[in-house]
Amino acid sequence: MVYYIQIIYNKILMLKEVRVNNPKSDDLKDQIKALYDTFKGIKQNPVNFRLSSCTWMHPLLTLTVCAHVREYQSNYQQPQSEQVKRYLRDISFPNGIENANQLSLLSYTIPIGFLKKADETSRQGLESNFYRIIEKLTGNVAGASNAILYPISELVGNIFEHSQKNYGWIFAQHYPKKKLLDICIIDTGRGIAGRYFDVQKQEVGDDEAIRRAFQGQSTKKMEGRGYGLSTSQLVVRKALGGQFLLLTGNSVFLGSQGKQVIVQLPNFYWQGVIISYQIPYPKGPIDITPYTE
Amino acid sequence: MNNIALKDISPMLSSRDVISIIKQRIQETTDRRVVLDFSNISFISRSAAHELLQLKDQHNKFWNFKKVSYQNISPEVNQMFAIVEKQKNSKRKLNTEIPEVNFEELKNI
Repeated sequence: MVYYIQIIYNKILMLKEVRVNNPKSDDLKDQIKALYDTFKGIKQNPVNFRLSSCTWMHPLLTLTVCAHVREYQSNYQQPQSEQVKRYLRDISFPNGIENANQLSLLSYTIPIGFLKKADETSRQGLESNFYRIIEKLTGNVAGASNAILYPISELVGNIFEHSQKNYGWIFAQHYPKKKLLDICIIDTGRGIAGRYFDVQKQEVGDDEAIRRAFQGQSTKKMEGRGYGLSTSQLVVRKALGGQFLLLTGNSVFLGSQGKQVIVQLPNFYWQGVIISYQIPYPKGPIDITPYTE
Repeated sequence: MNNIALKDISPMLSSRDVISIIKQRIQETTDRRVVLDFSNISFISRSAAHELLQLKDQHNKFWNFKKVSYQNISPEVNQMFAIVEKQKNSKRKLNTEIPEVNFEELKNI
């Protein structure tokens, strides 16, 4: 009955129905394809996300739907699977949690974090506890802390330094049997091309903006700036042997240990930046120094 | 001498904003020597490490009244300081050209 009421409600609001499908595999390449299939043609218009056929939700899709619901007042329809419904409840979808008190260090389920710049104390507490859970999951391997937390801290910092938005989202999911960790960080700010335009008055396409950012061309003129994004993706890919994805506007960067590409996504636009990366649990000592120059 | 236990500010120093708090604490003290105690600090971000090194350099110029030093630095935190120092002194290695492919080609990668 609730299902039909929701359909009628969405039709009154004239919301487009968007079906969310599972990716074919955990691989980031398949995750981005599922994201593209879901979000193509939507841009910033509110929609109704139909989660009914989802049997699992990866952080990339989960967090992007979450951000779209909050930012553009989209609706969503609960999944039919009780397991997925429970999972979404456990991760506090779609509102996320805003302070450390809501995050249990004893739990292995990591809820969606909604980070707000204004509330400095809560944000610091939430970030710290988030990092401690991530550290706990990956064990006491020499150098692992820095390797795993370095990209997170850089990329979360970028939300408040560059996006010109005062909030963003972070989410992580670990797969104990596969020994993998997925991390996703999202903002709905001006995007990388927007940054180059506002600060340097240069109009560049999203693909070129990504290229420049990965080459360490900072929009800040101070010494020691401009390393964050370029080195973070190297740490993920080379030091940790993971996959890294960055999407802004209509372009996406995908990189693994050996390969990297930029792809333009037709009829697609995300206002802001979406970063997702997947790393195997560290097995041996890790030194990130060679990848941070 | 004023000893500032950084863990009381945050167990992880992960943003430039946290460093602003540390700067404020240093400014508020009237002691000439300030020691930043890194006990139980398990992680410092690169940007926070960069800010702290700049802060220490500024305070330790000969004309500055207050001198800042560090103690009880863990190997992980030390590594991050070393990374920042290296970034200051080395020439940036640019990422090699990133190829662009069509969306349809993505499935073949």
